[in-house]
Amino acid sequence: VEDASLHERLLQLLAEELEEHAQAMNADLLALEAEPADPERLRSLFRTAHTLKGAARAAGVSTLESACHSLEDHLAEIRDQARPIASAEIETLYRAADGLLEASRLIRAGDGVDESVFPDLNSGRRGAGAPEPAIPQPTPSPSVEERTPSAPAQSTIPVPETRTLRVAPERLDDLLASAAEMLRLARRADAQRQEIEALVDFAGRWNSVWRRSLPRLNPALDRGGASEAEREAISTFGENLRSLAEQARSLAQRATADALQLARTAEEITTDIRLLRMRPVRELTDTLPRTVRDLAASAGKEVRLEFEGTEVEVDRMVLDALREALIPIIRNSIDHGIESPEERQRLGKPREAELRITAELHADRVLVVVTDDGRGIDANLLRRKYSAAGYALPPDDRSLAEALLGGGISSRTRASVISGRGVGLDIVRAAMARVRGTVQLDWEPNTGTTVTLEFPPSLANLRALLVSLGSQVFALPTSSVRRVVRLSVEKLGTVEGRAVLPDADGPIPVVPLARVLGPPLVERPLAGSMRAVVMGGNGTQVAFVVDEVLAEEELILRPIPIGSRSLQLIAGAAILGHGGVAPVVDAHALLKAVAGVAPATLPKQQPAGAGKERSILVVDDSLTTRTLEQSVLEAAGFAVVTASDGLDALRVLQAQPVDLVVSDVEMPRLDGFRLCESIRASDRFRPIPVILVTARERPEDRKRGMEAGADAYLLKSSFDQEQLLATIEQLLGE
Amino acid sequence: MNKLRILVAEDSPTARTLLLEILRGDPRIEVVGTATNGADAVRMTVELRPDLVTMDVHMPGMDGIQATREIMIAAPTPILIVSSAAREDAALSLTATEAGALMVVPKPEGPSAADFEQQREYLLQMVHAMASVRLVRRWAPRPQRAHRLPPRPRAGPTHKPRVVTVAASTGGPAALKRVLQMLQPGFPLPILVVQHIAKGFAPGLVEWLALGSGPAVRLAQPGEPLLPGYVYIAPDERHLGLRADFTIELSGAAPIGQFRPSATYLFRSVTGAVGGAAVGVMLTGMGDDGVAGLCELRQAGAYVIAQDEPTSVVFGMAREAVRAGVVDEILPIEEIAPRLTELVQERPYG
Repeated sequence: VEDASLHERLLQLLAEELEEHAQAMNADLLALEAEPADPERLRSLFRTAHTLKGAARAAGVSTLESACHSLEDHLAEIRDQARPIASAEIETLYRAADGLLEASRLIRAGDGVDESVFPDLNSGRRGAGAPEPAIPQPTPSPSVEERTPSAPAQSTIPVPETRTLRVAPERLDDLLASAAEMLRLARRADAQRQEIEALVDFAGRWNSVWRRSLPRLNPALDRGGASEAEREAISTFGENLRSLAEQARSLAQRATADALQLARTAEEITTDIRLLRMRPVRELTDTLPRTVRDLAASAGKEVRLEFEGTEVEVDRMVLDALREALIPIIRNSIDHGIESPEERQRLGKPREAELRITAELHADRVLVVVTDDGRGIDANLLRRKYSAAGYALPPDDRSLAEALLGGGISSRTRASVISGRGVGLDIVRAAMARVRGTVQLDWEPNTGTTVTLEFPPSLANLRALLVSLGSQVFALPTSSVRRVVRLSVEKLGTVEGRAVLPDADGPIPVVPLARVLGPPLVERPLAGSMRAVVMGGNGTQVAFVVDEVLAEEELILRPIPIGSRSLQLIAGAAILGHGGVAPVVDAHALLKAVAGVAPATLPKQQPAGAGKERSILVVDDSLTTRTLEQSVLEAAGFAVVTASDGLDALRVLQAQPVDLVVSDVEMPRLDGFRLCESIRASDRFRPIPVILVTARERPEDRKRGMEAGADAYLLKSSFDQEQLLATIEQLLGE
Repeated sequence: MNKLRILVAEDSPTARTLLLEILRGDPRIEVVGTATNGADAVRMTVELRPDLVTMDVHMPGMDGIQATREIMIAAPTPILIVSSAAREDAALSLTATEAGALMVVPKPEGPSAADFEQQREYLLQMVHAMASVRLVRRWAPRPQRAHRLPPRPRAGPTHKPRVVTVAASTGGPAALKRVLQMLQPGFPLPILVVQHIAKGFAPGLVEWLALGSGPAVRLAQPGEPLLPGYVYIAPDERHLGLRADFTIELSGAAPIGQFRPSATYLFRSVTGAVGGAAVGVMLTGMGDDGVAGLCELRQAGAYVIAQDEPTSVVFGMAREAVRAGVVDEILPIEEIAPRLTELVQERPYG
């Protein structure tokens, strides 16, 4: 049952992948028609075939796997010959893309995929005159189309309009929220199934212990003169124990199967609902041409609006934000960027200007690019006008673009200085920020302006880095995470009293995340070695100190009811695997909020021997020993970092300088001897003294330790702090 | 016991879902992240420090080979290449082992496949085995230090060798390639190789080893006579051996210590065919396959070389051979080919 459901799910995923890649393939082929030797497009086609081959294998559709394999071979041949692709070959490949769509349709309909849906790949090479292989025309299946009105399918199969159903978007939101709740329950059930399995183990073990002790118990009962009734009770006990263990096992099996099934169904429902909320960008083309016409008419310009890639689908909320962002961009372009028809003629440009909006889907990001062929932005004119009004504008165009987008100057200032110029561009940035997107403004004088909007197609699912502060888990959207770093306090600098992380692009402020998010979170002082997440946006970067970086996950975002005003920095909540809830931090707001909190400062330097604090790496798989040694060493004035085994220790060594290593011998993964050998084998770490602390008292163990290159070998049985400290003092010297 | 923290890099949602399902079905494993391209795989490895990365070869943007290379520089982590075994793909995957990946396993087929269970088991077994391998940074210069076990070169082989036999496992393809490429043209002996590799990959291995310079490499065929300077690779699911008439023997006998082909089978069979007139070479690899056979081969008088620890990805089989006291010489990988050339020229024997 389990595998059957997995199989079903893989088939659905395969169908989606086929549609997506057929679309990508069509785009590549269109581009190749214009430029038949474009190597990047050929590589992209090859990759498509390769990826689909793997996907078909994973889903166990062997006909498709072998068809993709021949497609791959065919493309590899063209790629390796590095020759322009013939138009007849492009024709064949278009039919192969159609074949992929047809295969997708067949899979969704629950039918097998027959090899005949793919064209004979050799036909293209025989020249244009070769007879076209018969491609079975896909017959529209209303039930399938209704369920998944996806764009690529629509391009080949017209959607029967009359069969669609109108639903208020709010109802879908409610439905998604309920589905998310169900998903949470399902994940909790899955977590509980592990507890049940532990119980089953326990019952099973207890049962076998009982059975093993029976042979000893019975003679004891004889000697003790147990009555018949007592014997009866004891034997009933054993019997019941056995049946308890058995029943528990059978229950656990059923519970496991149900929990898995539930988790899968809940995931499918959530995905399906999310897909229902998706709308094609095409919907914008209903209203925008009219807006452009009206704006152009009132400005006395002649403008032609072109769309491309409007089949890309995005979440309904994202589409709204996109619409909101596009209007100021179009308005600016028509009012300021595009010249009057007369001026254009003088410049040798066509009277009619072109305003082009293209949408593209790149993995998990949508790229919408708006270009005009107007005059671009006259940066010098702009700077002159600003400086006349007493404002300095950034000297380089990159920073100027940032300023125009609202990063540097308030819109009122701007509006009062230069009427109209740039007004509304901050609206673009705000609209994009709402959907976790970014804006980029570029221009080429006299050639045109390009505004690039980049955002995720859907808000409901979100990639986030999970970090912990104490026992609380927070989700930081990956789109704003620049990198994760290990900080050691002695490597930090101070700028204007603020702790900063030195960086090639200028110092990055270091702030404990707990300080920005505020109470009830408890902030730890900056000390020792720390983990920090560098987040960035709008030209600023901040390193937020967290306790731990746990994982990166695809999360389902749920809105937090409005009214929780205290949660300004939280964009929503996400349900985690074990059923817990992680607040999702609004990266944009978080970065802004840093300005409002007291700066983090470095700990006061030790008065004696300032800057000479030695750092010691304590390696032990026992938390108790680790903590004990850590407190002893810290009390003696050393900076201490810890690792839980040899492998972990090597990682710490890579990440930060350490003056001495104190290590246990018996540890999982990499023991103390081997850790020591690794340190001695490394040019970089060889000089670091290593002290092995162990329970192994045999002389050969001591010998082995010395052979491994340890500088000292202390016995746990005779362990006292004085001895450890004295040894360290001796090894570090002064 | 901590769970193994795994990062999965695979761009196809279908293939990724299958992998995740298999990995998550193992309670000792925790998937800490999934990447859909090479750049993300590198970034996430640095951030999350997983115990192992499963890596697809073809991905948009940065591919799996480049990602492997960068991970081995930025945050050395055991990498398992999960790839199709089709020839071009297999060769490409093995290139990833040169970049630092530990092992190549075939992409599992879906649950509709008849041997899905075995494929699942194999993948999990490899994940657990490879996650335990400790790694060093690729760019770190190899420390110039005395071998911990000092070489004990004898005067040389006691018999004039007629054949070279090689055993390799984890990290073996890249090591083998180095040895073969450095072998002098016109090397006069045939070379028999047992390399532990996932089912289906042996033909790809042959193709990959044959790329570029070096001797002719063949997938061993039953009954074919050994030719001087040729390299014979054991095929899938068959023991490679040598008959007394100096022809290839392929055997379907039971696996030895789970391995078929097994290095112990090869060494034993060669002992039977030519006695001590052979050189045994133990390259990088996990476990102890080959050690028992090597004891017999050495007993008969053969000369035995083991790859040293610093240049081995896993100093396992070679370490066991050293412990068993059957190794004449421990050499870094780049000195093995020149030494082989010397050995076949050394005189007098006996």
